[in-house]
Amino acid sequence: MKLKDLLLFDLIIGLLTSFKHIFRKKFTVPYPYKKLNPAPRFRGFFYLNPSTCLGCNMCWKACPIDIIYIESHDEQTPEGKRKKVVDRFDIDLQRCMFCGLCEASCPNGSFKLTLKTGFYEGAVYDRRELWWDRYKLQNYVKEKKEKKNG
Amino acid sequence: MNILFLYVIIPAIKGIVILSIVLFLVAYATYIERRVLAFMQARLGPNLAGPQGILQPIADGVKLLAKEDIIPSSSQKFLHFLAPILILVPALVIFGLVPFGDASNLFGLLKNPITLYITDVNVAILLVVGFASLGVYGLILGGWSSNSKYSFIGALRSAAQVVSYEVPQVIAIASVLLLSSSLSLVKIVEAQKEMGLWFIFPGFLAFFIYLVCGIAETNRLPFDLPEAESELVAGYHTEYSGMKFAFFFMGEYANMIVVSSVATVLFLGGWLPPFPSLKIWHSLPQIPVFWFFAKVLLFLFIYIWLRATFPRYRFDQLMDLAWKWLLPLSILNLVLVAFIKWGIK
Repeated sequence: MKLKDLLLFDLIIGLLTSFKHIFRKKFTVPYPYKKLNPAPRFRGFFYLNPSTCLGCNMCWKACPIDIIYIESHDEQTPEGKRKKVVDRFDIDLQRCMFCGLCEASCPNGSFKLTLKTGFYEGAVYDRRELWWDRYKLQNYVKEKKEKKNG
Repeated sequence: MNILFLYVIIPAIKGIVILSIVLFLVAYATYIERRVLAFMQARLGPNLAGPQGILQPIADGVKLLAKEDIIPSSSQKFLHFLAPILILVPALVIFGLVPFGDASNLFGLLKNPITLYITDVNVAILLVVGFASLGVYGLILGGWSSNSKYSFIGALRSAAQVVSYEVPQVIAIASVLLLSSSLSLVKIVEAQKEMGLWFIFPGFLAFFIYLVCGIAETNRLPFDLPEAESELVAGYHTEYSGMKFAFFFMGEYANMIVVSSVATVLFLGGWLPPFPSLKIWHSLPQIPVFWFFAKVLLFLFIYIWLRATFPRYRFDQLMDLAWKWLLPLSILNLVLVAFIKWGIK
């Protein structure tokens, strides 16, 4: 056994290391009081603008677990064209795995169905609240964000 | 009347005051531990109950009082009830012997100065060591009466560990007794005052041995094998809940404070300031128990510091350390101190 080992140098170095950590920046984020901003590509909760939804059913086809429910009917526009009007657009968020395939398949430009809202505080007391219809899809995230900003 | 006042009422008041201070310290030792440990691990620790989480011990106490007291159906009911008491009470009894401070009139509140300890027994250190080792019965009974394998293994380990580490600890204490030529804790502090030097300076080796053995006897990391979470769930108190668990918890922390207080008295000069012969201390304001509690808190900090740094020993390493290293070292130290004492004379 060496003298260095007998004088317990390793232990003292360890003690000094842990002492230094007292003054280090803490990693803990005290969550409800301080929040981290999610990354730009973070998949949060849904947003859909039903007035720009084409009712094309692409998201319904893309969904691997069939949790999107769409019903629509045809209407004549004044120009005599046929237009689909969405009556029902429901997503069962209880089962959603946030894969984003619906978002990727949506053809309708900037107003499309999106998950990139950055909103993640969707916990609810009753699981039936996780059945989102088209009004909730349009308003829920917006309202929550407005509430948060005062 | 006078005798009643001197021997019953004053000690009773002192006892109540010391008990409340000690229990307060026990409660806040948990808070300090969680907080310091968290800081050393780059976390925040409890910080929500009150400013900086200062009310956390009270919240914990209320929670534990309200918890259900679960008694395992196949346990020995009476011993199961007795064990938590047996671990806490001996630890609290020791505070009747610890000198917290010199005679003081408490900033002029009293006409005649009173001594800031309950008794000055002439064999105090023997009583302290005896009561400290009584605590292990609580662990063994708690582990055995629960009728659970984890508790039982924890209790066996604790018994082996405490018995092993008591030997070098007492020999380390004996070297202090050689230096002070007294068994009374008050006289030991006074001997350090006469010497003008804390006993840690001539007896650093003894202090080191006492520190290691004290940590092992209170079953704290890195020697917490009796309650090794990864192997034994919680060790001897696996089957306890509610206030009984709280008693075990308080017993552990009270024992830590006992070891800290005794180390303060034996090695760090009790209520004396550093280098007590210096003239500078006379010009500064005298706060009666300031130095004592400062040293106890420092010692508690060392406990937490060691816990944050070192991993747990293996059981054979633990026994190796006690019998192959600390015991010969303490005997060597005792012989050295005896020679130094003889040389001085």
